[in-house]
Amino acid sequence: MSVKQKKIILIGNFSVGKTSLIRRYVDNSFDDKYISTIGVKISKKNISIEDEEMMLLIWDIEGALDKVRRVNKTYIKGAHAAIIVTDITSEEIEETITIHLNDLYDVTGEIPVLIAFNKIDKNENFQMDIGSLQSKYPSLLGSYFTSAKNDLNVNTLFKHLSSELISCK
Amino acid sequence: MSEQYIKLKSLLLQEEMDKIQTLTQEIKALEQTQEKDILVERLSHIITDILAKSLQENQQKLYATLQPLLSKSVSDELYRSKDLQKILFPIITSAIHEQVHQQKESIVDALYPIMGNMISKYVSSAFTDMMHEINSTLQSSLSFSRVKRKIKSKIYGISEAQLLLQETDFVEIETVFLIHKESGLLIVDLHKEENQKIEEVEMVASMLSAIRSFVNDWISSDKEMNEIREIEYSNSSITIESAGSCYLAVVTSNHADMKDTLSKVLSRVVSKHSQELSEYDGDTSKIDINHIKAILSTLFDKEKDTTKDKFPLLGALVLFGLLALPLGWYGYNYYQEHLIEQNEIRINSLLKENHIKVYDLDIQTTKEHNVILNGIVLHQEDQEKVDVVLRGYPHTNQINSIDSNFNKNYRVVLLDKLIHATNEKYHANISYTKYYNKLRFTGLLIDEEIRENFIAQANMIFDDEIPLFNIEVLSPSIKKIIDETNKKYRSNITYHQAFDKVRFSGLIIDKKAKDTFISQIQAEIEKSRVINEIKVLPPLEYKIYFGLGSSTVEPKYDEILDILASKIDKYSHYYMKIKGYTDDKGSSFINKKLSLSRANNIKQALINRGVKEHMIIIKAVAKPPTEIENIQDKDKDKESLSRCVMFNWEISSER
Repeated sequence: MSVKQKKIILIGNFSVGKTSLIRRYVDNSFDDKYISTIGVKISKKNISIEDEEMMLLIWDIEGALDKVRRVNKTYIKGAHAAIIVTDITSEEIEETITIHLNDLYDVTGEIPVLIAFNKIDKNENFQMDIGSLQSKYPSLLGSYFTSAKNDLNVNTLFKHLSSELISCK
Repeated sequence: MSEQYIKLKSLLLQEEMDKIQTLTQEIKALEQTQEKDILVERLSHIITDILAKSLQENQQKLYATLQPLLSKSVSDELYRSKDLQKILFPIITSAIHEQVHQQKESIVDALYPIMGNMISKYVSSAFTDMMHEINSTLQSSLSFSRVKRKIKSKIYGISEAQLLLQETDFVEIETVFLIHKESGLLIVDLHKEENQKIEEVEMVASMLSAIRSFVNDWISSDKEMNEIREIEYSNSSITIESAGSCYLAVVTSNHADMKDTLSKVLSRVVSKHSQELSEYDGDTSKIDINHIKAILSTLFDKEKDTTKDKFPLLGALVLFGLLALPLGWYGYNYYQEHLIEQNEIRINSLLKENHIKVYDLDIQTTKEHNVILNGIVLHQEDQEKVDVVLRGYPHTNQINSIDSNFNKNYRVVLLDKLIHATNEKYHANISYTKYYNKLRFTGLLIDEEIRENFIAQANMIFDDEIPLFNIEVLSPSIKKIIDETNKKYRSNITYHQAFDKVRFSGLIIDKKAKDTFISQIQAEIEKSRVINEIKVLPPLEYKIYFGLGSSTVEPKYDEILDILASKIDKYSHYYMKIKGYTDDKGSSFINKKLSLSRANNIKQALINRGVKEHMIIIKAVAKPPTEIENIQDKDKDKESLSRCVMFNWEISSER
């Protein structure tokens, strides 16, 4: 049986922890030092879900600097699923997510998307409801409060997205 | 006098004279003894001063004097003395280094003409040798390929050596990747040697795609289909050949122009598997991988082909006799193929010149030189146009128009066409996005009938899939309201969609009818979505007055009558009602006759102005108009105001 390849992209503003999430998921490691991703970094992870072998090619895309200098859409093309990563300590979270969702759907059409509210270790009481966003964007599957540092919900996040890719083949 | 002078001189200068004499004697003694060493010793102290003064006063003359001597001397010394070379060479080397470092460009410019010529001479000489070798090999060997090449050489007027050079493949292909363009996912990878397989090929494919995307998006500034073609590293290079949905990346161990070879192979892959490749989602089981691999592996075969032509001379000579006949046949066939090829090029250009776009055009020529055309065109007219354009060619037109062929490839084209036509016709805003393998339609259509019609047509295109429909309808009964209103008021209201709004326009008889219509519409759709551009007929607020007991139309009303005649002409689907009135004095019977006569006289005046009789309705009332009756002002002459005719619009001619 052939291994199915899927392109998953992580987008979000700079320094929200995209690279750390991937590092935690792929290598199960974490480093406190912040090194900005330039362009794109690609990682690979072989998984097995529901008796299906899958190879995830995870594109860690350079973060958006602000509302003008957005994520490079070139790297978004052809993605099968996406994770929008936000930093819970940042401001205007919902607006940022909306910008990224619009940028994403502009290029890919509707693909499964999950939101990672990252760095939850910094504020464990953080709450956010994405109900209104979900009613507007039907392929927004849900969200997770994640921490690459404490290894919280990282595997669950990727597993959920992978299961979705299996179910909508 | 002279004696006195001598005396005085000896008295005054005796001492100095003695010294001069002594000196003179010493010089003479020196000359005689020839003590040169002493002289050199003494002169050497002043020689540098002499030279310095001479250099300062007449530099050029001094150079001219010394140069031949110095040049010869330095030259002799350089040639003769190894020591001088040892001293000078490090200085010169260091100077050149410094000059290259400081002014690289000027050094390159200075050397380029010499070096360029040298390289050119060398390459030219190497080529001449190689061509001689090739020609001699050609002359001493024989093969199918050579005969084929010979015929080709005659047809195209190119030397055999040049053709051989074209055929010769010096490239060593190491790895071939076929990669999905958008996602960067690997479709196929082939390696020359399995044990030299590149690791993490999927990662390489993704990274290569990222680089390709980066270069294409950031470096190429214009909107043309520019593509990165080659990435070079040392003696290796990655050559990229791109098609619509995928691209080939070929790793070679040396640089060579592989464009044509790659282009041919890729076009074979794409022509057979275009649909699967464009829909590739990372699952290779949905693609005929083995067939694609078979096509791509010919790239490696081509490498091996270079050895095929090596026939032993003796064997070739024997074989030549045996093959003379088949070769003649082969040559004839080759010529026929050439003619067919030319024919196809001509047909293609004819279609292009006449703007006939044929998708998947396949031209086949039978032995009888009949041309069979297959393909798809968007419109029936194009299909017919092909026959007109190719009148001069005996051909069979098997081209289908898209309406009769729901080939999956063209569904999207057809859908775009349907959406475009619907949006254009109804000023609608329908669009669709791909959601996995389904389509999500969004937008707004004005009524249920149009929506159902659109969905039915879309379903015809996607007969084996169920698209997700999400098209809103403004109001199911909007059309019904308009139809009823138009019927009731003889109005001509129409409606047009303006994206998410509806524009109502037309003419209705009066404000009351208009208000009734708008309130009915607003009960169906949101007020903010209604653009009301309905106009009301201009009211006929004219009155023509008559004298006591008279029905004669006075000439002063000619202008009003002209205006009324033009109004009837303008709003010809309405009727004009002329109502005759009288004052309330006298017999009602007489008044009735009088009012009828007044109305009829006006009617006649209008008919005289070209108005058709059936457009006018007459009504006679034996009393003043209601509005006059209601006047309370005693100063007004109600009686004279009552002797009039008035006008209004009517929907029907029923009295």
